[in-house]
Amino acid sequence: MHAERVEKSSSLDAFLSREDQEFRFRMRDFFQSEVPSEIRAKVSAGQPLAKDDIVTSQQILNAHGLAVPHWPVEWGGKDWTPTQRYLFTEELQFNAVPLPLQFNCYMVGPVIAAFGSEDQKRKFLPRAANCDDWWCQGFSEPNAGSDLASLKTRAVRDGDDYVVNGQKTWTTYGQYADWIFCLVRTDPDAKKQRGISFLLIDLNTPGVEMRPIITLDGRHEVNEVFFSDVRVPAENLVGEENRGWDYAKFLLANERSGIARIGLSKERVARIRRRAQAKGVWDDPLFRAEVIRLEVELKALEVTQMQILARAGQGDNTPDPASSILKLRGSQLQQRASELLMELEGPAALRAPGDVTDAHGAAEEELAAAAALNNYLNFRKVSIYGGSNEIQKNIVAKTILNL
Amino acid sequence: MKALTDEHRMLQDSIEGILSSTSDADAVWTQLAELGMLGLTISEADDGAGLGLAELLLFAHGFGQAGVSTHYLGAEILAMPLLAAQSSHPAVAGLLADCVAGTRIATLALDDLAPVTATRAAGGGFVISGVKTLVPSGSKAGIIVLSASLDDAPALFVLDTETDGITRVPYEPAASGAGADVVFDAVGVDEAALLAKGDEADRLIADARARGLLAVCADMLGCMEKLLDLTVDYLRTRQQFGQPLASFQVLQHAAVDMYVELETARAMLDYGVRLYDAPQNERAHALDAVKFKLNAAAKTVGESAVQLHGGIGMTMESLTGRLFARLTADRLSFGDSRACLARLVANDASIALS
Repeated sequence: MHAERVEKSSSLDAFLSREDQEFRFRMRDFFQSEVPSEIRAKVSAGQPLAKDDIVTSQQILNAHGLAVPHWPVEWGGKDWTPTQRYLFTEELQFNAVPLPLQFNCYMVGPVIAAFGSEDQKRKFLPRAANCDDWWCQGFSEPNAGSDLASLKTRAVRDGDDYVVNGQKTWTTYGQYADWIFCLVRTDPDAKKQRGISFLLIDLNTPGVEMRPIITLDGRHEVNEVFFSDVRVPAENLVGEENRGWDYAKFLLANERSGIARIGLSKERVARIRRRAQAKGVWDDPLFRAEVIRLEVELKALEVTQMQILARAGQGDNTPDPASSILKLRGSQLQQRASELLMELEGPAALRAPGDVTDAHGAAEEELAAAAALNNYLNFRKVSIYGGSNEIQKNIVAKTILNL
Repeated sequence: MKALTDEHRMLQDSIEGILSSTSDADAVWTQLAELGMLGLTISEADDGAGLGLAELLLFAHGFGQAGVSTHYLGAEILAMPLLAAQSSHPAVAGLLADCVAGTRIATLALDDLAPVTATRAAGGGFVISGVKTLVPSGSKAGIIVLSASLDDAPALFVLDTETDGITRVPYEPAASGAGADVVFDAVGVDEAALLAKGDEADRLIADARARGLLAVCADMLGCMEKLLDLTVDYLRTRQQFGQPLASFQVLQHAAVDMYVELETARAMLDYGVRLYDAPQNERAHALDAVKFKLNAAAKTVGESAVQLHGGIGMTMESLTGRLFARLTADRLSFGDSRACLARLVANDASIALS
């Protein structure tokens, strides 16, 4: 059902030391033996996960010290090389293990660890690593999408509190969340990026309202959040007032390995092959040609990633310019894979049940087929969030090509 | 092409040095010979430099960047390593030294336009008939190594291109370089002309094809790097509507698309180089994927370079135009996209999951 334990050497082993190869196999064994197969089957099938699935999986990882390997060691991190971090994420994705909650582990956690007060670290980091608190992100606003720095949500200092008014949107899993980390405007007179602060807000505070947004796939994944005179203790400010933009940039630059989601796309390719063979679509050379085109680009991106890691391992800590293409091309390949999974179902995708809340008893293949249409629709998001592909191109044009 | 060693950097500097002084194929060849830079992969015992594939490809890459035609593909990449692998063969004696000295140019002819067969002659030796096609430097080479069917098995022969019965038909299109068809009309050769046969010939041919494919890909990478540089420079300097072209976002994004293709193609070539020593079937499968990727990148980078240059990119005077033509010729050599894709589709092994 899932990737089998493969001991045979892979053609990419030429890029990996023996130690790294062993590390990869250790991670593979761990994911396959410790993370419940029901959860992995849902991930692999592209069925939506329940809150409990994500919490359970993360707590298993955390119990083995593997939820936040990229954090500082004193807060539960591992002193891994960039290659090991990448292999960890790739194996996790390839074995259809849910990524530890990104908002906790890849966003607010590293920011608090780097810029937060000692009190904040003690209060928030262990709970974030264990998913005891569920965090969500309050960055985008209705009129601040790609142009994030034009955000308008205001926080006005009043005694020991900030009073927050405004609206955030596209808040993923806000319905599950306990806390939200927000970019808020604290100095309306300063230039765009200058007057922004990074504020942690308890979602149980009076004046916070969460409203669902139903996306094209019929799922409730994202939300709008409204703030009306929400009083936030000033101790929940991270770092310095009006420096929030710097922390946001740090957050976006933090932990880029895995942003191409190569492991996930490889898992999808394996599924495409299995499903196409089961349905007899694999005999169609035109379909196979489309799969080959995807596979060739995926291999090229994987080697690009390996080369970036090899250079990162050589000491120099400046971000590699070539890494900017990982999100751009990686998102295109994820989308293409989701499209091929839909195309191989053909019109039958229209009459499939879609999302299945209770997966018990259903064959994984059927679950995957059921969600093929929803997943295609859902995956249009990956070239939009986290800096749209057009923004990525602007960045490459400016920083690499000097245009 | 990736992290360069100091030795590679020195080699690269010498290539640039030569190419800055001349762009004539024969003159480049003479200079390479004079500087002792032919026979890179040939062992020192056979007068060569004893270097590896990576160094060979560095040269191919340099020629691609400069858009300079040489006899590199036919001689240094294809024929000479093959001859060196058979260096104890009587027909090769003396030949290699001449090749390394640059006094004779050898090439390798693998593709048939009309089946090339060798039959045993009554008085000993062989008679070769048929037509070879797409022979690199085929119009200039003095030595030709060719594949031919002998007793229904593959065989390799080496002969002088002045031998009676050989006619060469050079190609007309400017982008075709010094390539040619070579016609063999009952060419009589002696027993010693047979270099290898059967499995040994098969292996030598497969190795040569793999080297040729990688060299063409390295050439393409050089072409694409230069095309992106030229295009970015042009966007920055060319003024229209009172502003540099670079100020238009649609043109910036087209240049970024070129960059993404270039970098992923660079990685894919590295993958191919690392697989050169893999088992023959695995290597051939991977190299089809490598060439398919390089071809796809070449289409985007080449076509966009000309498009973003506008009319000037269409001229023979423009390096951009010439590099695009060269890149296009490369796309068709040692694996065109259709043929690569057909083989990849016919093979059940996964590229992405291997």
